[in-house]
Amino acid sequence: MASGGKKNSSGLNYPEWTRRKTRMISRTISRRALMRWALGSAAILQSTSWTGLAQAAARGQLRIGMAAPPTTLDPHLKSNAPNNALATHIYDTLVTNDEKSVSRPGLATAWRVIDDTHWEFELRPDVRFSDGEPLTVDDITVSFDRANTIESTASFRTYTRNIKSITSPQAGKLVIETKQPEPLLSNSLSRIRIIRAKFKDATSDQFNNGTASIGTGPYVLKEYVPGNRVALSANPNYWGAKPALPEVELRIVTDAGARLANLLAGDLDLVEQVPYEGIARVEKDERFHVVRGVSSRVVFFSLDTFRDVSPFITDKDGKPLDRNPLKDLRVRRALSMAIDRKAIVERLMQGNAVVASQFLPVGAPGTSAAIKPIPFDAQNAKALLAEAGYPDGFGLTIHGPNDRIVNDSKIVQVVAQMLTRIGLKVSVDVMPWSVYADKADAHTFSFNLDSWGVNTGETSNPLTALIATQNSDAGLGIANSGRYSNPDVDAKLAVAKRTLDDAKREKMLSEISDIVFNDVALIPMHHEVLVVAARKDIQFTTRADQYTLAMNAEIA
Amino acid sequence: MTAAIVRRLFQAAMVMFAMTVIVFIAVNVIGDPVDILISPDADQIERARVVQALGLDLPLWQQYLRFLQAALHGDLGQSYVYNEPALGVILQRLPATLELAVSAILIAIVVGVPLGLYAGLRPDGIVSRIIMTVSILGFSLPTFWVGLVLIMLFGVQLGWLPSGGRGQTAELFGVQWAFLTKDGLAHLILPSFNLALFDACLILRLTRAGVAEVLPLDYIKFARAKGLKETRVIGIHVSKNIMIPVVTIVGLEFGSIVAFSVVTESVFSWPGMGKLIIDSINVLDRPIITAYLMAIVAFFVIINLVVDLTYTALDPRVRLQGEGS
Repeated sequence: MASGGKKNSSGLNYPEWTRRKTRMISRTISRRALMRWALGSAAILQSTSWTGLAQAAARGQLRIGMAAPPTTLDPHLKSNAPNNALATHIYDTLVTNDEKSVSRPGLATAWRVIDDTHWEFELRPDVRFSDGEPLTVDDITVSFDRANTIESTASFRTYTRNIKSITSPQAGKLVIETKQPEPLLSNSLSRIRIIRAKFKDATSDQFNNGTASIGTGPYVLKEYVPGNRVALSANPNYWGAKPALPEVELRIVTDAGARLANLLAGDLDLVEQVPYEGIARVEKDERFHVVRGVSSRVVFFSLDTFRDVSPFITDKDGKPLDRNPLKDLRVRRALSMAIDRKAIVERLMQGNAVVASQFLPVGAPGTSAAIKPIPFDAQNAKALLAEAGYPDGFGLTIHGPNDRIVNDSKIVQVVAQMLTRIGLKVSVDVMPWSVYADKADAHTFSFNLDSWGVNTGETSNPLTALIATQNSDAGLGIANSGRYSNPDVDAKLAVAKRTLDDAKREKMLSEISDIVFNDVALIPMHHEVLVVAARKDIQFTTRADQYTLAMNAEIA
Repeated sequence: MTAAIVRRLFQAAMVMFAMTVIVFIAVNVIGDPVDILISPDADQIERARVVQALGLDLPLWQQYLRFLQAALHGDLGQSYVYNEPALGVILQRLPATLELAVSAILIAIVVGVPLGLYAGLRPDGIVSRIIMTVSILGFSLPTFWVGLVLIMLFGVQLGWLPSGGRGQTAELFGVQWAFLTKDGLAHLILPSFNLALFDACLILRLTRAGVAEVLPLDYIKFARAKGLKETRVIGIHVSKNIMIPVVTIVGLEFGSIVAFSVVTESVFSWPGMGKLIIDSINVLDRPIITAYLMAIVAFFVIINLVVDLTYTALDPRVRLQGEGS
């Protein structure tokens, strides 16, 4: 009713000025520019009062500023990064993912493959829940069952669906039977958190209020205030090394500028996702330091290599082309070569990214050492275009999200300019993620920016989701937004995904990577780098999966 | 009187109805919530299951009828994100926003009205000029920037006040409130001052304009001629007559503070509803968006009613339609 322009319902006429919405004006000024001024003006004044800092350190307390809010404490309800990171503090998994997404012993100390569909796990002895009760096989089967059946919009079923049965033929041993051979079983197991069997039918609400959130993890829940903070303290019954900082408060501070200000004010000890414009400010300050680490998130452009006529590719006058130039390998190569990735990483990303030439940095499982960094060579790119029959280029619209990937809209703009230099006529269209996501999935675009977090730490995961020919029944190519299709790759990938021998499988995946990137199935841009700022006496290790975990903090 | 209230409630129901239709169509036009909500690792089988579970495979009109049917039974749906009843999620955050809004409006009135009176009574004084100049800054500076500067000054440089969060809370009527604890109050000061700044300046300028308009009128001269004390002239005769626009603005602004305090809430990481609605729009959490807007419509209707009732108290010439006729 505030904006009701017509006569008010009471029959009174409010004066004209009561109807305006002056508050909204402020949004039109660039937030980022203003934040820079605010930070800048603060740098001029020098700081004096730091009582908060010393006190917190003395108490062994760690206050972390989180950028995204967890939506629940129920470890099986919703699979997304903030929820999973929070759950990792409280619950254990049979197998854990280490900082580089490599499988390490968790509640299972060792495992071996019996045959194609059977795995045997040694259970860690004498594990107790935070309420003192011992861990039993029952707890494990119940947890898997709950994760596989709970009603959810982002469930963990992808990881549990292939599990046929979990049995314990003798005490301390666990046998897991899968329906199909599952080389990544250990990774799937690292997603399913173990709760107490008696909370089989507990509601998510009971997890949120603490009654059911009993785990075997390094921390126990003290308090959870949705959208505000989570308080944790060290679990006295924990089987592993006690965390260095026994008292933890995860505070949700979604505004990047506020997160940084909270750190500078001494109200927080560590913040994730430091805004780029604030990094220099933190580095200059002797009380803090910046920790960086490469994430497993790769940023890339999808190419429409499927349609014979692509909707956003035209000739230079804007008339539709009768063929799709992106189907020509020479054109794809030319576009990839025309992009100066080093400049983007150094200037636009201010060094907080690593140039990519495949899904993961070389050395990670399933990558190929034969894939060389893509040279920046506008001359040759032009020659290739001419060779393909486009000496004068063509018209192209690049699409991208504007609130999802770090610097997403700027990356799109810069790439558009770089492609203009080799003769293309490029326009740019960016939109919020909520609008972009289903359009990209529906194969609407011709050339669009996307990213993928390779959380398994090996390449079968992105190959399955981004490269395999889309096939709903087999669960292939769900994020293949350019509809790339290569029967050779599909066949080889299917074999690799059935191969349980790690060394053999990685070799196969590495060969597939060769094919995919030589064929320019997509244009890799860079791997994102995590930027965390912390008090100088706190040592912190970042994780490839971008989880910020209190266990990874230590007092120097 | 009763007739007027009944008519209001009916109008509110109509507005809510229209709004739910708009939200349903708009969210459908923006995009598909499943693409945003689903875990990126999920495959097509999982995706199809989610679509079906949420009823998003039905035609839009059927989805809407389903919603309407449930809404008539008091169920506004489960949030896609939180898997909890939408209204519950909103009400959980209401107290935080409410205490922020109330304290901001109180600050705005306590600061704005007296300063405005002063500036109106001595329009040429040097102090009045300073007040008026500062007030221009007050409503032209962007809220979030002032917020960041406040944090930088009082949180970072001086270290007097906490730089964000809600602090400790205490329970009253089964609800957690920050203003009941010392720590919570300290956390409340900066955000409520930040939120109050704009409205304080608005109220200040309105009051001053009102005073300037009323002072030369005959009845003020008459009151003075009667020999009434200056305090009574200003306190009763002037004040009462300049209050109508101020009450209107306070009512409307209170509504918009509650509904749109998102900027201040995110700068100060205040866990209120403003943040919730923006997040929900970003992930197309339709049940939350719908329930939130319905709640806000109800809220504005109530505020408007209170404002109108206040008018009748302030100015005997004002009658609510349907009253006494």
